Amino acid sequence: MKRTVIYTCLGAGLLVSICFSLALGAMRIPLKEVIDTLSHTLGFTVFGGTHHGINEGVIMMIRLPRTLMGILVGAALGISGAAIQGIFRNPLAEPSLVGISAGASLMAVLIIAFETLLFSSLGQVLGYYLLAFGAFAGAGITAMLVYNLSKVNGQANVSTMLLAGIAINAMAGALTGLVTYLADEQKLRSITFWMMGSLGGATWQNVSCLFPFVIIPVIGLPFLSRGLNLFAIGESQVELIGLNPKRIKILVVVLATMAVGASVAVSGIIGFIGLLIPHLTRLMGGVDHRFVLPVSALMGALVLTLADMVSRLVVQPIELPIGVVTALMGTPIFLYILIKDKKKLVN
Amino acid sequence: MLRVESISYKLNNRPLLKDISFSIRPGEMVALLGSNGAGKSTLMRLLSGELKPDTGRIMLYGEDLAAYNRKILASKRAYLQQQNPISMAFTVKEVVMMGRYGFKSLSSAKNDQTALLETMELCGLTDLADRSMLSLSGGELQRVHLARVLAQLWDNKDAVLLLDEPTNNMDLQFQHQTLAIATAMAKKGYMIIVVLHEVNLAAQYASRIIILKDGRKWWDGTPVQVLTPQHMYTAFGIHALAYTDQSSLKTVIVPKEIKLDAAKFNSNLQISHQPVYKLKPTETDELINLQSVKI
Repeated sequence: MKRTVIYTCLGAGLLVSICFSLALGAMRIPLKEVIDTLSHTLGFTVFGGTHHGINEGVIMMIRLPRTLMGILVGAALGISGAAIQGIFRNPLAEPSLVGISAGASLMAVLIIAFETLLFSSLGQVLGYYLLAFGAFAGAGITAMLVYNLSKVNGQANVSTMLLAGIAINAMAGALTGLVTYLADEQKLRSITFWMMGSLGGATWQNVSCLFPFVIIPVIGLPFLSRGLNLFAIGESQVELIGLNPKRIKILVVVLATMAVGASVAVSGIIGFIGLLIPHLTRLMGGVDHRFVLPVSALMGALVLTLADMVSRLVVQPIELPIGVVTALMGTPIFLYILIKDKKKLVN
Repeated sequence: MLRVESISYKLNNRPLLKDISFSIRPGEMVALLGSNGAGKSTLMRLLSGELKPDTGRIMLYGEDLAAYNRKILASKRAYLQQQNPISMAFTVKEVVMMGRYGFKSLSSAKNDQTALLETMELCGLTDLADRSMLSLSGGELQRVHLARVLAQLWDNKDAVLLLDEPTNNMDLQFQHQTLAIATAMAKKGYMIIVVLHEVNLAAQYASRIIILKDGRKWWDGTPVQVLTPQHMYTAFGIHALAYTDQSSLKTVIVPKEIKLDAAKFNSNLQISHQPVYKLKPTETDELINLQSVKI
């Protein structure tokens, strides 16, 4: 009952914020025209259905792909944050904190650099997929590395996990910086893009490439919820209760890093969403992953759409990197969890 | 029927269990006793499948444990570990329900609900049902996990329940309640193996006692046969008296007090018959200052 209300509210909130995200920006478009254009594209008419020329172009070519990318990236980061925290058995395990995002971005930067160096160009679409798969591999390798480094007696040790994250972040950040400076290629854009994240590069092409990488984990991960719940009472209990811990672990890591990797490949590292969203979700409706996973996806989509709006609006006409906005929202939560759980986390 | 056939287990070339054999029939409640490091927990971990024996095998209803299908085994064996750390704020009800995750599709929602309510009632958790696990005391946590393993086996009496020191952290009432639950489960036909430290609890509730020492099985029999002053001394190194309680005809062990001469240990402390209170110089100064102020 309570959970139905949460689903409905988040769904409605997401629809409203999509409309505002399409309407607001450097060029303001009336909401009526936004709804008109959307309904026209979907094949029906609401307000008489007149064409609005340039406004329709702005919506369809620039704002809609960007908004869709925000939704996909937000859902990806929210759900994979929740899943990775379940596997690590710790609410602080967040893709950008423990170095998973950094691993993905390093891979992506390397691929772009080598692509231009070796093949001159792989063709747009193939290039995007290569990038997404590469970032996925980078994320997967770092996730496994951090997990195995931080495991003490079959349990993830928090301090080792965070320290491993710092080391990997620093290393991947330095290498990413090095490659972006050495490879003088427009595609690499700036180091800010990779370290702070931006949805500015959204096109229909990379949104459609991102889509399968996000939708598969968003549908697949909730099927592993019960297994993730069992991980909370210990990896050995999973087996005793009759589920396969190895299979669950591998599937969760593959699906979660798939979503994180592809998101990083198109939008750089957007930090703290994976920490903030699952935490808020647990506060609202408890820690059962059957609830946390789908709601984290929904709320991640909503919050990232809002964060993107903020990043576009506060210092018009310039854009703030979206990572700045999410970090400003996320760090207080991170500190709050640290202070609240100080005693527990030490043990 | 559970049959342990001469199992041995080594860790880093140090033998922890040597050639242990026994078998348990449905309806038996077996207490496993022994001093620290005797191999009780190792034996439980072997029975739970967490460790694999180096030699020998463990047969459950005529089939090797290692050959079982994971889901079927989960309906025939549950294991309450000594340590059950939890890091997320699951509620008591959610954790008890986790015991039934393995056969979600096989059992009906009604059976799940019955198991949940009945096990929580037995373990005194009904009032705590919606509390977060992170807010419970050690004894309460232990009861939640007990309810969880009970819920796991609630539909199937052809099963073995392994309890490794289930009474840890529990108050006196729930120590007895826990063993009473185990005994009642045995009456229904379950096989129970419980590791205990308190010999009198074993004497009162177990139908059979196995004592381990240095990784070997030393005695195996009824409480009356096994719990004798000589055995207590060999197994635990304590002098004890053994009585038979006239009303229940059960053995009662009364360990003799161990006395230590305080003068013979802790050479860091000086021996003196008068207590000496030494104050640090600064404190003495302060004391003098205070007194002078008073005057």
